[in-house]
Amino acid sequence: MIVQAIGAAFLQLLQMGLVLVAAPLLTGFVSQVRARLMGRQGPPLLQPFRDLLRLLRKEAVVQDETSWLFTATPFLVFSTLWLAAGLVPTFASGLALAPAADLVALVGLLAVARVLTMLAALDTGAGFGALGAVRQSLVAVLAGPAMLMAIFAVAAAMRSTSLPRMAEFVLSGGVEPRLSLAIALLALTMLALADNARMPVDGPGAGSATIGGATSLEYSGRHLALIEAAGMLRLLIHASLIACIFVPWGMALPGDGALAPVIGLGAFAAKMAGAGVALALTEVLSTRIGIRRLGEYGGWALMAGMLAAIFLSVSLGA
Amino acid sequence: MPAILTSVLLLLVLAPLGLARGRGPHGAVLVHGGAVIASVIAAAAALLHLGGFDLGAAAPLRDAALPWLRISFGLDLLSAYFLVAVNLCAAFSSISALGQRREGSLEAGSLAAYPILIAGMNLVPLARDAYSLLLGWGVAGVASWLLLLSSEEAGAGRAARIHLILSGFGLACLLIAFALLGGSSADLSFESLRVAAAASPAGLVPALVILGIAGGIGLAPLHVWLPGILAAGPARVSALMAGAMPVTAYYVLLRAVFDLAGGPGTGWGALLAGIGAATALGAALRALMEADLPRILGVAAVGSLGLVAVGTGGAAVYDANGLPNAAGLALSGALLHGLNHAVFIGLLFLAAGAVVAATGEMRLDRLGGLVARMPWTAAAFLAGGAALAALPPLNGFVAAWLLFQAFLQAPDLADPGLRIGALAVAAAAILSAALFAMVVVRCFGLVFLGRPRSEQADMAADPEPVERWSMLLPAVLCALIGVLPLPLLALIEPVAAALLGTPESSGARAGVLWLAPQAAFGNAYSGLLVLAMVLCLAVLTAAAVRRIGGRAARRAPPWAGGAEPPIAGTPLSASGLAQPILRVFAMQAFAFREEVGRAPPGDTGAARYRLDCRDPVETLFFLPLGRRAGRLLRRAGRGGHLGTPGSVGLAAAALASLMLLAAVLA
Repeated sequence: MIVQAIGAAFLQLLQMGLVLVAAPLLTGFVSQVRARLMGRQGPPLLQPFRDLLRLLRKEAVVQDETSWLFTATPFLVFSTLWLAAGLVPTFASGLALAPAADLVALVGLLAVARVLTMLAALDTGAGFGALGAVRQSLVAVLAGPAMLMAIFAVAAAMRSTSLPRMAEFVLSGGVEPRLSLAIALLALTMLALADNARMPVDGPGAGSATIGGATSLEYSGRHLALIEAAGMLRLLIHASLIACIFVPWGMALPGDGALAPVIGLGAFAAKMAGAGVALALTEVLSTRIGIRRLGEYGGWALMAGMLAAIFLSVSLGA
Repeated sequence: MPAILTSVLLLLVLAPLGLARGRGPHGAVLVHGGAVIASVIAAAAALLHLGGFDLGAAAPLRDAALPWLRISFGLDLLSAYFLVAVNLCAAFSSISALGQRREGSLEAGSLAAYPILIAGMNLVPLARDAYSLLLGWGVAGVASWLLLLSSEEAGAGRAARIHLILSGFGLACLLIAFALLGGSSADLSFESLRVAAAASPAGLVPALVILGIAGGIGLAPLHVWLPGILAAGPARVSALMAGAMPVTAYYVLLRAVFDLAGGPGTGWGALLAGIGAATALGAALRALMEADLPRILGVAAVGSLGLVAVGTGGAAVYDANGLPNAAGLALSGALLHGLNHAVFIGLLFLAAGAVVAATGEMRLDRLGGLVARMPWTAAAFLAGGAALAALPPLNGFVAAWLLFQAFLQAPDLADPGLRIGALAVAAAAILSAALFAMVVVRCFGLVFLGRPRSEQADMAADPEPVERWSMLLPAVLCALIGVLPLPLLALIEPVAAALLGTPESSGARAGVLWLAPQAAFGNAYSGLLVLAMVLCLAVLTAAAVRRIGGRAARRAPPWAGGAEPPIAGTPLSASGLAQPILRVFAMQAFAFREEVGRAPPGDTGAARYRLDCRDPVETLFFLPLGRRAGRLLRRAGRGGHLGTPGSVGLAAAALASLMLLAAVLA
């Protein structure tokens, strides 16, 4: 029992460290692949680390007339998303913190991060940042519920909202492929794109002009570094969430041998590489939709989530 | 039980004192101080009863006042739970009133009515027969009518009249419901009602009760007026009327339908859940359209109660379909959210009252920048808002989590129609929670953040310490319930189990820290761990960042995308902030129209933006109804306008005739 608890705590610590390394790597990998697909050489894989380090060393300039909320937000958003990323099983399912927050709480944590970002943007009192907050509010209103509806479908099929147990359920072969799960996957993918301000919703190259950058416009130095790092963590959360629910194979289960986590790490790296290539392909192949059609996009994601839940609930009872 | 009755008596004694000494220097302090003491005693006694420590005899005091009416009072778990909620809200608003030193603005009449309102709301859960329950309801209704009448806010008179009509209507519906429940016997004590209801099918009783409380808790389609009523009173009254009064109405629903009539069954339960979801969703959108802080909070209160109705209706459906575990989860969530509502809605109204008192402004577009000027109010408002938006780690999230876990069991329902209906309700409830997060962002962002948008907002300051604590205490309570919900849930579970008639503790818990009801397949959530981890990681991050960076942050004027600040008109307006969401969601349903007036080329004047929307229920149903009724009245030769005495008389006459009807039926 105690050995198990120590093991779980060790895995959890490892996981907290792993996500910090994996998140910038994933972002760097995606931009590298995207550049290659477009025929450019692209930045090196480790560029996000260098960017973050450079920003951290720079002097932070804070706008006059902003409150404690403005300076606290980067730290709170980063640590909230760090915790959220640490809760999604990546290479092993026996994490110590797993009972502290299930999938519903994870959605809550993502919502907290979004609300804090919006409030910080409004705190500057500048029109531009507020505009970013307005646009983000639309994403937030659609993304949260759509995610919960997709989760509804998945969780009802797997009889749990606890991520490790969902992964274990899939690994034990308890769930047969269903149309509703495919639709839920589609909904979660659409949301991942919208929530991370990726194409077709928003281009990462567009910077401050659109949703993602406008809310962090007044941040600089270490604050900006934390906000950017939080964005990378968010991308990792979505990718590893989808990987954990839909392709948990390779993950180390509690009771597996000492070698299993190593295999799990390799499998996780492969999954993230796959997700990165898929994301880069999506971004290269799609055009950005107009900001006025953002509602439509979110609405489709919400519909997909609803549809998945309805299909599942009809088929389950029969 | 005797402690609570004593505090009710104390409240009733305070009323003539307030009337007599209202003009004096210490009248307000006496009345509000007495109200604080009484409600704290009542809340503590009720809490002790819930925890199993009964102070004094448990036997109801029979034939206390009027032998021929057989008025009786008593206490059981359900009553005790709601007494806690009501008296917590009453205590906070009384502390706030105690802290306000604005003498002269309080009339003797309102001083007398205030303790009577609290007493009436205490009498409703204490009642052990239908007469006393309706008496408490009526007393609370009339007292709040008086309080609204003596308010100086614009439109308070109209709000008072509408409120009186609504509570009279509710009273009439409840009267008929109880008469139907009682059947042929004239004895309206709860025991005999229970026996009579067990013998005959419930029939229309649940519908009548739902209709009766709909005006009180703002369920659609009677949601149209409540926000206006709640926005019309002074803060301490609004906090009570928005936080505590709907909770007593909700108690009446549980008592009459679940306890006495033995549950509403699938049909009425599904209807209640559907109405609740529609109310919550509509209110969330409506709150994004409103521009005044008190009105937004009024609408938000209606929406939060919609979620309570969703949980309650869901529990009824699960219970009637043989899923007691899911029913217990849903009802626990609803009960918890009822108490949360009393705490955080009361808190939000008190904070809004402090803002309005400090600035004299209630329009979002004229406020701003208050976080630096009123830091304590801002912190309290943020906590209450986060609870309303169901964000972790606050108490609103715990209730939402329980409700979600309950809805996750919808696929177990045998009827496919019910399954799909449950999904639709869940989707609407989830969407409304997400929209409420935006309502809170909009309110907090425009009122407390950014730069002040009027001179009054620039000059604002936090209220005095006593009033400050009246907001900070509920804020702390919100966080406490959110972080450590288990002690409270351990008290709620027996209440839910008794109401549903299921064996107690259907949801066994895994540990002290983890909220992991067995009924929810062992899914778990721990607010304490989440909060502790986030704070630890934030401190760790800050330390690491300091090591790498080192230099302190420098303050500088805003960059604002390179623009020279401040540009007049660039800060976002209240309607602009909600515009994209409303465009997506409210185009059809709310007849949402926008009007943009741009200045001609060359003119540097600001553009105008106007937003126009109408509640569909109001335009499609009530306005034509009102027109027709007005025409009818004119034809009857009375003229369209009745005035206050006229409408009171009309309401009284209607009441009397309904009572006669009830007597005939009984």
